[in-house]
Amino acid sequence: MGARALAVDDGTLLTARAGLVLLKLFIPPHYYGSYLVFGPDGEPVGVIDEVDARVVAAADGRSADDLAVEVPAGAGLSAKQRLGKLVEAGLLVPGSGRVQVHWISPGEGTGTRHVGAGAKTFVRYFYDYFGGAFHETSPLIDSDRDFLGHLSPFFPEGEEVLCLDAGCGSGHYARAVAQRGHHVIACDINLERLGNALALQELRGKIQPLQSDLERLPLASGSVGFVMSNFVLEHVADPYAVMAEFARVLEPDGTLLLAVPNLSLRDTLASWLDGELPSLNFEHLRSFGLIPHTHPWCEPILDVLRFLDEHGVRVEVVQGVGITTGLWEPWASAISSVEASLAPRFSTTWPWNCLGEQSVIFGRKVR
Amino acid sequence: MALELPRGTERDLRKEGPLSPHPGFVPLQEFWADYLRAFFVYRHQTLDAASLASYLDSFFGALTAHRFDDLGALPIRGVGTECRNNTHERRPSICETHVGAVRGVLETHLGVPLEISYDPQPCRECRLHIAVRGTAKGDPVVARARRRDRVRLYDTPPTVVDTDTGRRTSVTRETLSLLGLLDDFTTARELSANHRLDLRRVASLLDYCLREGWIDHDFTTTSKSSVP
Repeated sequence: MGARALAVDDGTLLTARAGLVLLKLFIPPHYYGSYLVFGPDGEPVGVIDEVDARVVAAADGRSADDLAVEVPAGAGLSAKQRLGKLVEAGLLVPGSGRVQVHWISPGEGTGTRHVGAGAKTFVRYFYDYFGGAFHETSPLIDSDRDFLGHLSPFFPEGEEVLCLDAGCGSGHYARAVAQRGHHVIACDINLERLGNALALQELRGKIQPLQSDLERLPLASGSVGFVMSNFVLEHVADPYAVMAEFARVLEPDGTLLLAVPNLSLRDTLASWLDGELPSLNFEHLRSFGLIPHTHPWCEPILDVLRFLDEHGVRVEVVQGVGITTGLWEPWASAISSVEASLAPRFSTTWPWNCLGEQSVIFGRKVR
Repeated sequence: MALELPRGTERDLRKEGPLSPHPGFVPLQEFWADYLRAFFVYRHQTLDAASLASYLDSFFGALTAHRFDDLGALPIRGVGTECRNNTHERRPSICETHVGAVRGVLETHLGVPLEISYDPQPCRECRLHIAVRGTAKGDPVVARARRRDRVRLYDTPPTVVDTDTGRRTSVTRETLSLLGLLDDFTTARELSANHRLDLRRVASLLDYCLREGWIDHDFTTTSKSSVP
């Protein structure tokens, strides 16, 4: 969208540009509650604050004078300045009538689940952009490779198993499973990353690429022996639709391995006792956590466990990783003594297993 | 060279609460410059051209390989080789993201508002030109240094005392004399013209004094009429 210079007269009728997608951000200090804006062409344009968001939401052919009431006094810029900038950025255009604008933000009742065309559009736009800017080895897209040690104990053993790496990214984990002799379907929505996942010559034939939306896997029900999805569920539009697919494609007695970012014990205590604002990587649509409402984007991990159980996956292990990271006194000493008394079961014992920086969930399809 | 969010800094930022966000529309490049300014782990360390390149390589992964000339003086020239975005389908949003991040890192390190122009080449190399940001009218901007009121200078032995903290620091005579010249002169050129040191050395010493907290600076046009 090019910049347009438009004199915004009081009587100019303004409407939001059709097809905008706006993602709510939680990045302190300056972007807590702001919105990252994507244009209808899928390209990010910039960021607007909550006042501008109110203006965009209200712009349905109203006059500039009328829209000005959405801007409270003392909001940093005058209404006219704000409208002028929004027009120049191409977010508001002359016109009448309400147009389709997609808002990606936590909702009452829907929590962090995003359904519908807007959600699908956002995921496509965002990861297309993000994948174009940040490439292999960037910490913004590649999970810590040291995490393999927390996952590999749950990889299938013995005879060759058909495995699915859902959201394979760079292929780091798919390769680790394939090197154990299993056949891996490496699935990702991004074609370029799929190419990178297949890079290792010696694993040709063991890794099969699949470009797909995880909410609609082109795989037969009950056809896969092992499904893993590592640091993916925080990125998808509807994690429950994705997990339903995982349960569907798993064969009886097949196993499921999930790794997700979690609101840690430190984050949870700081939020509830200290009023600290949890931040969220803006490429995450949610973080998981034990205590609901710790963060606007917090998805209760108990809901995840309950959902898996309802869909025939018996959860056998929930493991917290990095449970004591960042703790300060007196909590550090108190929790360390609990850890010492429970070791080595600390990381898998309730409630500590749901209070790590990351959670590893392992389950088995039983019905 | 891994990118890490320093936990202490995270806590500080969060404790500040939702400070008023930047009012109005913030272009993509500015957003990324802000993001890197907030989370740039080298905030208080000296950065050289090689480590800057390495840091950006690690931040962007395999997008491009960075290389910079000496960071000691502006303008700084840099290059991104084999840029994956520098194709016939080049996406401006990715260029703006990349340049915003580079600007955020360098503005944090140098303490100077910058503008970066980029020139993609057919060979997939992209040349960066990093200069002090001018005013909207394009007037050149000059940094003017000022010795802080709390600083006292002592000649024998050459010592700087911060009267707020009580900290006493032994310094070289050239540093002491430079700080003394700030009574009458404010720009690096003026100081160099009135001191036996060359411009580069003066700039280096001013950076040192800035890091120590003995001086602050602002930016004006050569006509001293406005601050960008």
